[in-house]
Amino acid sequence: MSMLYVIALFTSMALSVVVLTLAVYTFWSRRHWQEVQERQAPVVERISGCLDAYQRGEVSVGQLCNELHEQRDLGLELLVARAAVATDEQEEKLHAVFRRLGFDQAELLALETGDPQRRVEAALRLGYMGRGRAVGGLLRAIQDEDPQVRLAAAQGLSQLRLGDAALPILRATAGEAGIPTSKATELLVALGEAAVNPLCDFLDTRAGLTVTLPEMLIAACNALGLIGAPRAAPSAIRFAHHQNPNVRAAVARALGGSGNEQAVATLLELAHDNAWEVRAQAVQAIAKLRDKEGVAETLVAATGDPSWWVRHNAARSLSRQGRQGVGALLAILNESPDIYARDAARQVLEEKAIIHPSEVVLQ
Amino acid sequence: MSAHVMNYLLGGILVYYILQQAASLAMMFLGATARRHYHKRLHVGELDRIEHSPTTLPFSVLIPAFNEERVIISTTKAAMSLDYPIHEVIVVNDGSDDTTLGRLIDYFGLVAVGRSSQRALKTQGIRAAYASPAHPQLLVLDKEHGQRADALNAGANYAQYPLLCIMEANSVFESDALIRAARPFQNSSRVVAATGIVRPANGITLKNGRIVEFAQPRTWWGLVQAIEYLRSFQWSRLGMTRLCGIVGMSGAFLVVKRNVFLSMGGCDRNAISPGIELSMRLQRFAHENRDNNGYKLNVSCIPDPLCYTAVPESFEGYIDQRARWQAGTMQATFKNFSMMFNPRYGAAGLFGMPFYFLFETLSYLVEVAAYVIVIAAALLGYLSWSQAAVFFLLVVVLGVLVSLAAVLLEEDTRHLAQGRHDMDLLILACVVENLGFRQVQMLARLVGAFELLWRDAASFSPSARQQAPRRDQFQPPPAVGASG
Repeated sequence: MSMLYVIALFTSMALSVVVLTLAVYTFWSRRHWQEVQERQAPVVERISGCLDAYQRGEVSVGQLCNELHEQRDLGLELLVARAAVATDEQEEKLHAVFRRLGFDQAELLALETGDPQRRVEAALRLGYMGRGRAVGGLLRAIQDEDPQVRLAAAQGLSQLRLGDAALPILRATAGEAGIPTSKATELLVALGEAAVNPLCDFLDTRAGLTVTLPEMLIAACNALGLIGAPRAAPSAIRFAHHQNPNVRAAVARALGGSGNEQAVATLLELAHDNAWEVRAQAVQAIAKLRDKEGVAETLVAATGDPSWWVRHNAARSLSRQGRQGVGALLAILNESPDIYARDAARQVLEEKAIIHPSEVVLQ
Repeated sequence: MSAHVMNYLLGGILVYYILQQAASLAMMFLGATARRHYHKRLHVGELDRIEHSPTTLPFSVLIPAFNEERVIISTTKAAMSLDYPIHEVIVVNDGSDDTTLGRLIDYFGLVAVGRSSQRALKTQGIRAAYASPAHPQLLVLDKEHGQRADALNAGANYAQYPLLCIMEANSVFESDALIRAARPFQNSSRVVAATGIVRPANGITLKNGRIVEFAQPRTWWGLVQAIEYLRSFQWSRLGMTRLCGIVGMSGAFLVVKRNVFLSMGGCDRNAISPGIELSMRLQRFAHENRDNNGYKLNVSCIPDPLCYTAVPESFEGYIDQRARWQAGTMQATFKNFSMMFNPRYGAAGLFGMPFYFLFETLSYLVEVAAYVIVIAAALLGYLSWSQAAVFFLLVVVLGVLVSLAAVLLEEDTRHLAQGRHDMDLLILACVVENLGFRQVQMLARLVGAFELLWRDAASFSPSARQQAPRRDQFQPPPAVGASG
């Protein structure tokens, strides 16, 4: 058993050394952190005050740069934090500071470093530094080997609200480590109106790509639907018969958002699609096209769909059709032989407080 | 029994114990790197962007409730007031015998509504659904009593949104928990589920359903569990996440894609610990399926404390909970035993499951065996009493050191905003934990393991859940609208 003693002794000693080292490091690091905080607090306060004054127009860009010159790292952090919550007008003023202090040049150089984390930071920061030199760097960074850098570059480009960023963002959705379609959609929507023409052009010509991935089409259509561009309808209609149901559902979203009369016929067709996801999306999108021929009839028919989601969305869309839609729902509730259609109608009428729950008992 | 055999037994126990502590320590350091990595990658304004993005996925928060009359209002209010663009809260009253449902109806002015569901999962009968125009994001389901898993399945049937957030009725979230939980889903379409760090709620202060003050529990039972949550539920899980093999996620905070949850058949209705069982099956699902493009799926862990749950502060409550946990983890592990050391399940099969089984599920049982063997060896003369004392000292010293490492790492990576007094208490609790509490837990777990053999899974349902005293400063206003 002497061996046991030896093992026990050595294990306890080894672990004690690890924990003691950790303890010393922890207390040192806490103290260091507190010291840094205490040292930085008055500087942060001074720079923040100066930034406030600059944004109010009380201090010139030169004066602010003089203040920031001695605390470049901290100044950059504070400027980026400001830019992240700034209005368009405030952003413009901050861009001048970034440029004057050469922060954009420094971050462009950082995009070439071997450290992916540094490249991510640089790409994100460049997004707050205004167009100009940043754009070229970010367009290169969106093809970086590291997926996190690609994502950061896409975010940076969307922050610049540059229409030219739309296609690179779409392309970045490709591959195993591609940007997810929901993220790409978010970034495209952030580009706003500037994204509409490039996205429609992409749908019309597929940007000359030999293979167009469904993710690219989905992101483009979803973004157009959320931006709400009437011009999107003819471009999106091209993909209404795409083999991928997720693409067809995205087309329905784009058409609903477009508010374009040309979209009605295609949406009514998609409301009878084989895939329930497409039908559910189509009956939801139709709600935005009120008072169009065939819409109410299609929605009423969809309340008897085999899929719960289609019935549910159809009844909700009917409730958004004004008095005619509510009348149709009441008619379904009182007269339809289909218990599932009555159930969908009742739920929506109750949600909208049009009927009191105790008034109806389904048989 | 020969001295030779006894020597092997004692040596085996010692090696196991040292391996276990070394593995725990390794997981802690891996967990710390996971947390540092996460915070480096969390960009300025990223959470704000998620909150305001039009593509942020909405949440359905599911709260199963069985006899939770004391906390149900504050929990529901807290869930409804979370910072998130679109989320609904579905409270499932699982056939409570107390006034859980009545309190909800009175407080929120609920009325019975005809709410249809997808009926994708089979559950016990739904008696009624309740809603209120004043609180459109709240739905209360009243159902026949089943298990917690059955209540979760019922809630999922009625969920409208693509992400399900599973919580417990005695838990409360950080106000930005859903925003943080949405991040992995926003950044990767291949994430099927995510969990966050769970901490004891005993000691926190709520105001209007929001956490306004953090403090450690003020009882030894609570403090000891705070250490345990740090060591096991935080660092071990984060370490597993770093290895991409997290299993054994807490049922107090689990986010899963609704379509994945439904296609998996929901929670196992016989599961004693639905969270753990579900997390293992989620790993199984992630490795057995691919996304639309044939790419791998994964399960994520958010290294921030997002959820605070009430822990028992009485002997009976503690014993009851630990026995149930042991039975639940053993049931889930045996059910998914084919994942063990199976390369098909990647890091979850090669690291996550073996670590969880060998060093968490079995550890307390091995420890009981160790105590018995060492005492028997001393009584039979194979070991001197001084040698036996060295063994027990080793157990205590190693336990204290590993717990201390857990506390120090937490302090180092988060710079806890709690006072010096809290830190002193936690360090003291590291010692106290190993001088009695650990042994009580060991016995409770042994009871749980044996109970699994002869008790029906349904009988593990917590009959009287421990309600932690939460200093909710909110005074309930009169009920909104008509009741009934």
